[in-house]
Amino acid sequence: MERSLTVRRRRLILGALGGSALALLAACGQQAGGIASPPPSAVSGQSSTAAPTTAAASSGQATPAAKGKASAPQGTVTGWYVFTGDSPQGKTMPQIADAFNKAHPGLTANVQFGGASNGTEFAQKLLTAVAAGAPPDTMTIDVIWPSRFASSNAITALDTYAKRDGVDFKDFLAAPLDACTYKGQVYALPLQTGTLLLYYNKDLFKSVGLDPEKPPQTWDDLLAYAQKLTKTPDQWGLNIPIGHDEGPVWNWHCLVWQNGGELTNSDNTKDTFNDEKGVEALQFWVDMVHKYKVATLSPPQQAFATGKFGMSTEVPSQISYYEGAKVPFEFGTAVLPKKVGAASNTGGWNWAIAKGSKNPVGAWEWVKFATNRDSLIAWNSRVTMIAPRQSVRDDSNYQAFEKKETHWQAVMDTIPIMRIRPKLAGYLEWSNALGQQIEAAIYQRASVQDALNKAAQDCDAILAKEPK
Amino acid sequence: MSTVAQVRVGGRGRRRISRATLDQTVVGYLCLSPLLLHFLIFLAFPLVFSLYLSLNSWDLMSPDKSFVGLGNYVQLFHDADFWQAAVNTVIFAFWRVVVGTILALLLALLVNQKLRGISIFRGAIFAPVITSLVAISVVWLWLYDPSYGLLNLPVKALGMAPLAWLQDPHLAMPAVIIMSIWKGVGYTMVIYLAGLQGIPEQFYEAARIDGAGAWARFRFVTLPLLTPVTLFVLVISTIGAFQIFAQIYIMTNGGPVKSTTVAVYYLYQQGFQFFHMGYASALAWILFLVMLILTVVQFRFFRQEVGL
Repeated sequence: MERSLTVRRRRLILGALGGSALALLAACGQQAGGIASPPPSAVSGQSSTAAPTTAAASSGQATPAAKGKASAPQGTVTGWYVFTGDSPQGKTMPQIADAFNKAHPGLTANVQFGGASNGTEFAQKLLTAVAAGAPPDTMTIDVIWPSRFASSNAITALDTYAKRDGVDFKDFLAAPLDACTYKGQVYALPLQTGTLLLYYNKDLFKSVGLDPEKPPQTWDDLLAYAQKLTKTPDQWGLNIPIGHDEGPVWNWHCLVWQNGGELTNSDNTKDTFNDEKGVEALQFWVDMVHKYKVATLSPPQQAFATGKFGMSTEVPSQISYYEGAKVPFEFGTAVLPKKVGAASNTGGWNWAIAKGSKNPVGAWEWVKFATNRDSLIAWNSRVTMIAPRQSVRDDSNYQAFEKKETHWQAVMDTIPIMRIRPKLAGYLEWSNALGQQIEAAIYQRASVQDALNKAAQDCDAILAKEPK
Repeated sequence: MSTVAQVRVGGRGRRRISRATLDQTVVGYLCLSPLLLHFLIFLAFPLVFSLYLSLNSWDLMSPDKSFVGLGNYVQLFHDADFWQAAVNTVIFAFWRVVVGTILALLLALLVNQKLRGISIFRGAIFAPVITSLVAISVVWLWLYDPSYGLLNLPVKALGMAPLAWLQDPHLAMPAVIIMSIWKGVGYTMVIYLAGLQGIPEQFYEAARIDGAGAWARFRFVTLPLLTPVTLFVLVISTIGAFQIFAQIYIMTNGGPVKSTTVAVYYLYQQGFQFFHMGYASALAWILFLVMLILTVVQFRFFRQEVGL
């Protein structure tokens, strides 16, 4: 008797608790439901309000078409970026935010480090925030992410806004803009663009009788130089990225392109990297390690900075990093060596607007401002990444930087040969499947042809799952 | 029907319980509510939700999930990478648990001596346990560095080529196991130490009178009386070993050539890098079932000796 009541009470109270838990969940659910609701077209009803506010608009872009005198966008714009506070980027971003706040009375940019400095981890934070229905209004995304975010309906297409405000997409560099375009619409605007360059140690060049002003031009040069630069047991001609993550994979893409090959067919339905051109490209790496022994399977951390590597392929931001870290040798930069043709890859970060943003109009003002001429000059001259707009590169201030920075010519020469990675929603899975087999070939667990065939088989299955 | 009626009658009859009892019950549950809420929101709900997800295909972002029934589980059993991860996990768990437990027992016997300053040694062995796993993994990344790693100094001193601990497919898993044992052995040692100090001195005296030597005392007094502790240690460290993740994530990324891709790392990759949440959830449930079975087997095995 006593017991039955206790049981009933327990049920009651549990029920009440459960009810409150459900209420909590329902609240989350409501927020989540809110994600999909404001399409950009609905927002553009207020469009005329946003136009005339920014200094940005007058400095870099054509005069906005709509000059309504309705009130400017209001409120707070929250933003997450991937750069830690102690990085040059992390120090520059608050300055851009201050300039934004001054130029936009009524709008406050609350942009901050998003809690992860590694691209993959940062994307995970963003995606979970999106899934939880609480994304920031705006965020930086890597060039490999727009397809994933756009196909999952997590970010907003910017075309309507850009058209309204007269932002000319053509002013942006072709490669990063292409990476930000999904099914004909632009989903993010480039903030900084990276690529791969050949870094070489001028001191080591001199020590083996190579001209430090003549970096290798072709694959044959690269191998010959690497052989000269290698001194067993601990000095290596070339640092080849080892492993299966994005580092080796996006490096290897360049070899395929340089050799006249393609990674996938034109509509990304079939992989083509396992043809003879791709096989040759991977064989080149495998031979450097095993046949010519000019590269090691176990490079130390920060290999090039140790001064024990003659050459290495790295991104432009390493220029300011090595200069700042005062590496104990003189280094040079060059365009990646050619085979049939020249090619390099495209990396970098871009600003996008979350679908769930509560202030998309304000967020667009931020995206526009953070990628305008002045912001990009301040940003990219400090972080030695490529400023991704033609109007910036035509600017005399920026040209002054480019002249002053002795390592910059290689970057300028690389811009015309930049290619982009396949635009896939499942890019990371595709890249991992390929990377696993590149690694298997380099570790000689499989022949190059077998490894690439297996990779193509796995990657084809991933391509088949792409949203149509 | 009749039972329902009885309960109702019973319920009605119980209305006359004292106000005090009622208040006590309410207050009791109110006091429990923080824990209960925490349990419901952070444990029970995710558990049930992950079971639901494991029957669906979901990319973490899309509002729609598509029901695939047991499809994820079927796919798992045909996934060579999953089996490789399973084998790697078992290899890791076996060495981590066996070597870790034996080493912990030996260390416990060692620091159970009544010597001046012995607590310094206890503290030193326990210190890695309370250090952040991520920070420690980065430290070991450098210790294992092929060119500058401290662990390669003796190797170089012997005139041998430095070992590429984490870049050699044959050495990477042993390297992770060594690091993990170093990190966790202090915890097990402390449990054993408590067990050792709980054994009454009289047993040893009696054994000595019977003429038992040091080994016999250990074999027939210490070890049997530590059995409940050993059961606890084995269960806890097996579960822990099956969940290994951070070391792999920081030090090897599952490589080289998948030699350290363990179950939870594979789960993480599937769920948070490739956004196959359903598939990752199915993997989590398989992992849970395997650990449940292992734990039950361990309990059965020790049942007679412990008298459970």
